[in-house]
Amino acid sequence: MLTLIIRSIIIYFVVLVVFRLMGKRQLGQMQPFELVLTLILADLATIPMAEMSVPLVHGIIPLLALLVIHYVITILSKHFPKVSELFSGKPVIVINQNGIDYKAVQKLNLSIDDILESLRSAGYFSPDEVLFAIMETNGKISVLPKAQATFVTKKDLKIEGEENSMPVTLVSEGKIIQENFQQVKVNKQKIMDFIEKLGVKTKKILIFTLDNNGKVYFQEMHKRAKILNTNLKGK
Amino acid sequence: MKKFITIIFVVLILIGAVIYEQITINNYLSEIQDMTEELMTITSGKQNIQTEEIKEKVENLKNTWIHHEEVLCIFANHKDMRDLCIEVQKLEGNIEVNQYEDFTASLKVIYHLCNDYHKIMGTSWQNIF
Repeated sequence: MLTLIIRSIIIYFVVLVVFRLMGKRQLGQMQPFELVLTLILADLATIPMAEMSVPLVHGIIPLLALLVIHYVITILSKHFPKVSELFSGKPVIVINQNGIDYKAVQKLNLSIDDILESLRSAGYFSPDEVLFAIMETNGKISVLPKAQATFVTKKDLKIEGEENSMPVTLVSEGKIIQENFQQVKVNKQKIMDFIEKLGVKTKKILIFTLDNNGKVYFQEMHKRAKILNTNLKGK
Repeated sequence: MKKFITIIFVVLILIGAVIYEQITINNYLSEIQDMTEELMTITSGKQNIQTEEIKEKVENLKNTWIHHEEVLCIFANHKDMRDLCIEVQKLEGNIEVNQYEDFTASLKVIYHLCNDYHKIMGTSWQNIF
């Protein structure tokens, strides 16, 4: 039993290292060769974990070999577009100015329903709103909407607005996140004094965020959230 | 660059593992085969196998196999090596009851199993495909 536990732990860490080395893309937008790799990896990892007569290296060595193959394919794809096309395919325009390109849709082994579904996921409920739609190599659709289907922006209305600011979490579930204080460029003591003025102990704070415009999002545990405009502005 | 170095390191580990496996399997199995061959020569034509020399050589063969099996288990499926292990264990029993035919049969099986393992565990086109 202990052997099984140890083997599982080893395999877990090897798979974790392999996934980390493959990059974050693995988790989201997978290319076909990455998907193949992920499917094989999952299977390879479980065999030596469950089967005691199979040596652990029979799981680890193929994992490492696949990691090397993945790296080589990634490097080749980066430097040679033809290789990238071979392994990942190329983006295909499925909707153009003339409407849906049925030939392209058929080539992709998709149906019109699939295209409509992808468009809806992208926020467009009618092909009429779309000028161009491109099926990317990772299976996601990119849409360029027609001018009448786009949202009006501040730029369109020639309105000058304040630049958005990224809120930084300073306290989460009662814990002060020290490293984030450097990001807001506000004296830590000043923030701590502000929290004290609110009459709340740090341990009781569910979340406390601050952006560079001095906007505070603050919520005490089991209480309602508050949005406060303060003078705690970053330099 | 960091990733490149890691991949090179992984490639080196793979190359090292492959070479180590090949050398170890060749050496270990050849050693067992040699010891078996020696026993076959010594016992050839003898009906009495209960001699000190044979007992000592069988004991040596058993100990060598136990040691080698521990290492071979790292590379090979444990089930594959079970047959050879059983045949090695049988040798001592055959000496105790002076079963010459069974003893030589076991030696032949060990010899052929080693030959087979060379083919199964080593790298060859047959194994790849």
